[in-house]
Amino acid sequence: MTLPEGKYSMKELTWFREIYDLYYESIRSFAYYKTGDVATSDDVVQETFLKLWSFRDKVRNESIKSLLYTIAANIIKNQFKHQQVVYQFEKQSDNDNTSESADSQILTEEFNQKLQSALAEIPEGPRIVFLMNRIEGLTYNEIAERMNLSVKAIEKRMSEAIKILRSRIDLKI
Amino acid sequence: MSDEFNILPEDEAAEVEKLMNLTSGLKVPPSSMSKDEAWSKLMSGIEKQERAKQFPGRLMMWSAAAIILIAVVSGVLEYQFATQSFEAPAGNLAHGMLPDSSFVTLNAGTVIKHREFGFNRDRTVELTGEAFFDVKKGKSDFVVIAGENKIRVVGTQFNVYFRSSELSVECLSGKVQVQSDSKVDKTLAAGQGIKVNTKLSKVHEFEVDEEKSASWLRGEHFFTDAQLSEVFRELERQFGIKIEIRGFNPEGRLYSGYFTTDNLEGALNLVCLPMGLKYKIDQSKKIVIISAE
Repeated sequence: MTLPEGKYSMKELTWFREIYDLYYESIRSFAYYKTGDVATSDDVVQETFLKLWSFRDKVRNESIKSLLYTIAANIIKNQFKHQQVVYQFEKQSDNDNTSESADSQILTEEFNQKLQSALAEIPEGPRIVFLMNRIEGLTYNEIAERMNLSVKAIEKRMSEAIKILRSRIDLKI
Repeated sequence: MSDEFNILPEDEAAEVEKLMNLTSGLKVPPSSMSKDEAWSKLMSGIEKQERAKQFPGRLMMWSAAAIILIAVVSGVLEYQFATQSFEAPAGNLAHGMLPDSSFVTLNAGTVIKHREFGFNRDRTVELTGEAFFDVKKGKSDFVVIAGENKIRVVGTQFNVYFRSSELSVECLSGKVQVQSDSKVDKTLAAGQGIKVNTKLSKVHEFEVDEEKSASWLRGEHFFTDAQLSEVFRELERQFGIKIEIRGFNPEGRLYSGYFTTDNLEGALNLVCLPMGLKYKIDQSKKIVIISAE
């Protein structure tokens, strides 16, 4: 591990690495949900953690989750031009032995395309909640904490997203 | 997960469950760098941030002692040597007024410097780039220094271009004296222009085309037998972009024509099409790739 020059304590750096380890994937995913662009998401991760470091002495640990998301959202809003979101989520490898593998076989290329563009069509609020739940497997409670919203609001957004997806995709069995 | 939706009728619940299963198989595409690579990058970013923060602190401590010593001397030197600089970054023109109320407009990517105090006594401006001067009459001569060249005026309008040893002066009204090295000493009247290449010692006198002179003030850029690479550089400055060249050598190729600065694509068309080149714009990175057709 490289140690940057500067005025900080080992304790601060260890704390910072812990936060990074915990939220690196989530912030990158969050940026991807918002922008649909991998390179932009990488940049957002860098900027977000740089910002966090710059006011590390003012941060309280309880608020850190929602703070990181707020920073990331602001960076995206201010620094990256909004473009049409186009998702290219990857399909999980089929090695999973759960019942899901049966369904993921139905995920033909054509269906996959339809699903991805349907996802992109959901308004941003519900879309991000839905993806946090489906892709990262976060509970409503956890999402509410990160987004600084009530669990009720998360439930509402979730069902909104599901409603839109059901109207766009044929799920008849 | 299905217990969150068990209030739905059975067939709908089945649909929702199917949707849930399908979407839980998705993953965010991987980054081009690993988590640890991203961490290293972050650490060097932090180092830069820390250094920027620290530098003034250290500098202050050291200079505290020095300042006392220097203060007395600098008071005197300050008056004599303090300079003020004024810059137009790539992609922008800049308009300004000099201390003697002369107006100056800088083309994109241009810097001028002049003394901060006593400018009216010594009206000297150092220039790199291109600028249009509208000089007020004053007690002293107004002098533009461009490299080893001097342009001396009394009260007039004139345009000076000086980049990579290419000097071009166009006089629009009044009189302008151009001195370069000692080889050239020429007084231009209104409507006259002179080009000097200080490296090649080439001098060319011409009549100013009033329509084209200082046309960059209006966002129009004219070129007559200009080096293609110079034209690319002007595009870079005007639009704040970087041009990358692929598969051909612009060296020695000449371009005659013009472009305007109201939109990048239009400008690229005007330069590239006649030269048999094509381009690709990468908006996010502000890079334009130009290649042979």
